[in-house]
Amino acid sequence: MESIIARLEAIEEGALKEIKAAQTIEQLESLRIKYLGRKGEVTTTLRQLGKIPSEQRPLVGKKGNEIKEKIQLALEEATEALKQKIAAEVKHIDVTLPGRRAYSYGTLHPITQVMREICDIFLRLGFDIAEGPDVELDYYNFEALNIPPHHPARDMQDTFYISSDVVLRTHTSSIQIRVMEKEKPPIRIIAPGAVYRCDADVSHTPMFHQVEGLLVEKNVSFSQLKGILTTFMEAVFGEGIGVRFRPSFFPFTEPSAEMDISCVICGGKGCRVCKGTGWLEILGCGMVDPAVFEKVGYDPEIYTGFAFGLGVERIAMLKYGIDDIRLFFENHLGFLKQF
Amino acid sequence: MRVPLNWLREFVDVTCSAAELAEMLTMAGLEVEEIEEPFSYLKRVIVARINAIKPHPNADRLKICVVTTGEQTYEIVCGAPNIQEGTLVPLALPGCELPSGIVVKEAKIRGIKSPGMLCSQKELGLGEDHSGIWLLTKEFNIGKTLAEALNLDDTVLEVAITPNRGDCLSILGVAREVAAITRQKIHYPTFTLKEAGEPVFKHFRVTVKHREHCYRYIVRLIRGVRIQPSPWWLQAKLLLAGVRPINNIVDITNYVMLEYGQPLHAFDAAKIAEGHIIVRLAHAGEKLITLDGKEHSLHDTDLLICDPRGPIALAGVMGGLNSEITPETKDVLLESAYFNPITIRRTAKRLNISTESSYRFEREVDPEGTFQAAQRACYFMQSLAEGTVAPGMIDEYPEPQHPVAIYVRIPRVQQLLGMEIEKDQIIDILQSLQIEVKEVEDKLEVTPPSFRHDLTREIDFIEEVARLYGYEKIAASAPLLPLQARALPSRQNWRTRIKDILSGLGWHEVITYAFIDPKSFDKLGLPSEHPFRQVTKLLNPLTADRAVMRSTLVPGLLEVCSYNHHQRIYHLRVFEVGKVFRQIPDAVLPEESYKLGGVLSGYHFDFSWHFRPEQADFYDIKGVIDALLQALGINEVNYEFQNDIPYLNPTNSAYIIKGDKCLGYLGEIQSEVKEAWDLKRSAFLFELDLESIFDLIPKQRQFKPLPKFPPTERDVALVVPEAFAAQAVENFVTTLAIPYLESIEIIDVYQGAPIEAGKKSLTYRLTYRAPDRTLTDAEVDKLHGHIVGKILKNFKIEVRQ
Repeated sequence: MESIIARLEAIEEGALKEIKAAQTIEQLESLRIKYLGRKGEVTTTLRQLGKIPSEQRPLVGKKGNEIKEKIQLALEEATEALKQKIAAEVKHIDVTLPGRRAYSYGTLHPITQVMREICDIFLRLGFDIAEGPDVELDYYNFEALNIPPHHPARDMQDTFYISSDVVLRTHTSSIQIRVMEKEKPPIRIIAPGAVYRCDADVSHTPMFHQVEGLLVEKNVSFSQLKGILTTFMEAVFGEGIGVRFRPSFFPFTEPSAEMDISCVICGGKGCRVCKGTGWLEILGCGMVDPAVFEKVGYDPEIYTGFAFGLGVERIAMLKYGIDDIRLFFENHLGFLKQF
Repeated sequence: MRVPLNWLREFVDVTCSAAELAEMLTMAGLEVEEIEEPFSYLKRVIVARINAIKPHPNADRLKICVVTTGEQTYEIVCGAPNIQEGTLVPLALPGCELPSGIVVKEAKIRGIKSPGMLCSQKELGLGEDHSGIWLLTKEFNIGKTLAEALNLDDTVLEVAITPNRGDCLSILGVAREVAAITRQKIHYPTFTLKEAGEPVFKHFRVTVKHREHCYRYIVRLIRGVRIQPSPWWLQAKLLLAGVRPINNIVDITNYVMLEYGQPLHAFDAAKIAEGHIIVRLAHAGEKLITLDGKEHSLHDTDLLICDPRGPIALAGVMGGLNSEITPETKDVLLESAYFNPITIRRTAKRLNISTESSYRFEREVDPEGTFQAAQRACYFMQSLAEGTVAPGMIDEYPEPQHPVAIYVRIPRVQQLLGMEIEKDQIIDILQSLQIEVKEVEDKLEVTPPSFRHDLTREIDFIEEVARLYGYEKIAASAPLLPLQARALPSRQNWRTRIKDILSGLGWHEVITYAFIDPKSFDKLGLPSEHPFRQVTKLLNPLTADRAVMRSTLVPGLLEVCSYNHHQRIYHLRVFEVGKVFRQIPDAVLPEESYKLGGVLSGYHFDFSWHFRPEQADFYDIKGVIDALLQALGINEVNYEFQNDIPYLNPTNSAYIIKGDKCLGYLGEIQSEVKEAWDLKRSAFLFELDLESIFDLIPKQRQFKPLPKFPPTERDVALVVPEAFAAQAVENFVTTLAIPYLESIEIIDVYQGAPIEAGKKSLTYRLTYRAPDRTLTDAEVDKLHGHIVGKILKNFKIEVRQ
């Protein structure tokens, strides 16, 4: 019995000495196997327990377990100490330095972004996109839209002329006519594009962008016009936005309306931007005038429809809080990078 | 249209506040743009009496006036020559902001305190007289504010009248709308004329030669008028309405025009030769000097009022100087007419004159109102100008115009508006607008009043119903249409995609004006026959530097580059997708197509600690084109040297070629062009023809199975002359159609020792692979040797040792 205990104590002494001297995690692991493994010294020694008298076994067993735990503890402590030592010696890279990239992200012009947002909403509502020429016949820009020559309504838009019968389109409404000449109802289109008017100040540039919409089918009503446009404004400015429709005049729609939204700056309380009214003019719209249908050969007794036109810059200015429309066309990089 | 509320109240009761009235009108389609009190500053100007005038101790020219407002006495320093003790004068108190922008303050003038200022008529914005302090007549009550004393303490609504509502260009017109909205009756003014003397047709006659231009022409004669300033109440109303008072006769014509919407003209009767008024079109080249002193050369489309000697007025636009009312005028011949709106508009537009008169005639006046307006003006000339109205009236109205009755169908109203509205409600609304309504079965027979030219079709009446019912009360609903989905137009889709690709590559999108400076083409050094010079020109450009439609995106991009350089932003990569225009001889409309352009200046990469900042070069811009074309699926593109694009440096610029088609070009901007646009750094640009690109984009991508066996690579370094084009080798090898050769790419370019001067070394990597097995080294060596041999023989070059 004594000899077993003495052997165990000798093993313990050797093990603790070796653990202390170990330099790597790997060495510690091999020491664990050497002493505590299935074929390790402590294990094999304790296996001889059967050879000693049974009354002595508990005492030797107890001693053996004590030594096992001691070595186990010493291994764990040494491993932990070694890990800390290694960790303290490792050299980190500076993770706070900027990462490597050739260029920062590029940007789409804010007008493009807002135009896409507008078009996407109408595309989801089942509208198609239609396009037309920027340099347009007077006929499509005015006459077919029920604006004859020498009509005071021509004063509503200062027009750039190319010749007596060719203009830069003053609105994308001209596309309405081109589409209706080609197709039969039902018509659901939006027409995005640049438009031109000879006017320039803080709130006017000679070129700007519009999205025109047209829906023609049997039994289309003013009530539905209100429905679509309310849905649209809620999609652009959020569900809480207030809207109102008030009578106005456009030669190609009747009844005609201006749509206002509650001021996005002051929330409707009244401020400088909304001139104290709490409302902002956002788009013009109305039921397609029968005279327009007659021009394209639709029977106004069978079909009714509505049209609307909205200014993209206007919406972008309200959305982003831009107070000078000319910024869109100066293309200052500092401006472009903000969107 | 400026509407003073007190004037409006003469016709209709207004019980609500100005803001509520404004809201009411706006929601009925008469948008109130502004509510203002134009003369609120006169609330700080008091009617005061000069009690005493004392000399100023420090200045000979100045006086000290002791003035009283009844309650309080002030000592005011004043330098005007016309002040006298006992007279009434306007005293502006501190805080009063005069129309000139001067704010009256308690000031020290040459050492004497002056707690206010005595004002001239001009200083108060009430007239032109600046010869001295405005001496007020005895009717003014001392102590009252001038705003009260002059009836100027009124609120004015600025109402925007749409072009279809000429009938609302008057106080009466707006009052009619208020009456309709609030379901009131209009109070029309009542007055009586006392006619005396010989009747007008004894001395005057009217001949209308062109009835299609002048539907009605009324003339009345008023004798013995005394030209003098109008009474203050009238001047005040004109001032509130924004019209400058002149003299009683002119003021009366203006007043009645503002009140009834009917422009009137007063001739000096003595200046009309033979008492004969002739309404006719001008002879081409005929001349007339109008009231503003300008001489006009006339066209045969201009309508004139003439006497047998010649023109005396430009009909409906402006009177002639030769028949003007002067202080000596005794007899007035008053014109109240209804001219063809198109005739008036054509002349006004052509001569670029817009008057209160032409504005109203263009928007049509009330043919029945011409008579009432003439009567009203006669009454004022009798009561305010001591005139005597001659009996009778000349009224050339050969074809009286009567409004036409039409039908309105109740179901149509309901369908179009999308709501259930009762028949009785519709009738009530129409009647409130003075529309006559008769029920005929399920229809309404409606007749508009004479002043509503805009009501001629059923839809016009439906709009009136909607307008007065209130758009806000019509419930919103969703349209019901069959579902259908059509593919987006592919070109539109690709434009979107291209913008996304380029912004993903770190480029910023710009939008520039579609009109450019015609001088740009000279600045770009383009020859006179260059297709870019086939431009579409604007007839009326806003400025000379935006006078033609762009045929290329380059000038716009250079402008953006220059603008940013001047903002000290030199590191720039911007692109634009935009339309260009090419004028085709004999075609009505130009050809429109999309181009993609971009400009780059600055460095290879954004500033960062990772790279040394190195100036950008040709390969930076080429890399973008490569990446873009690759993303679009357009391969095997060639770059060819160019030497005929004058704005690009021929040593580092190229055409981009695919097959036999030129897709565009790229390169460094010539130094002359750089100077012309004042660029501060060298820059590179590209321009691609998107229509050609769209045609080349594969409609459908085809999947190729992934290779199962490994590739084998072999490199070869070739020594070639300096000017040798690297791509030539690739193109040549491709034509050989070698089996198992998967790709060839250039991996190194080297110049310098030990390569001899004037030559360079190009290293290519060739990749070989078989689809069904791993190639052996021996096989690859054989293939590679074969290819290298062909290259050396074809180009007569050597392998680098």
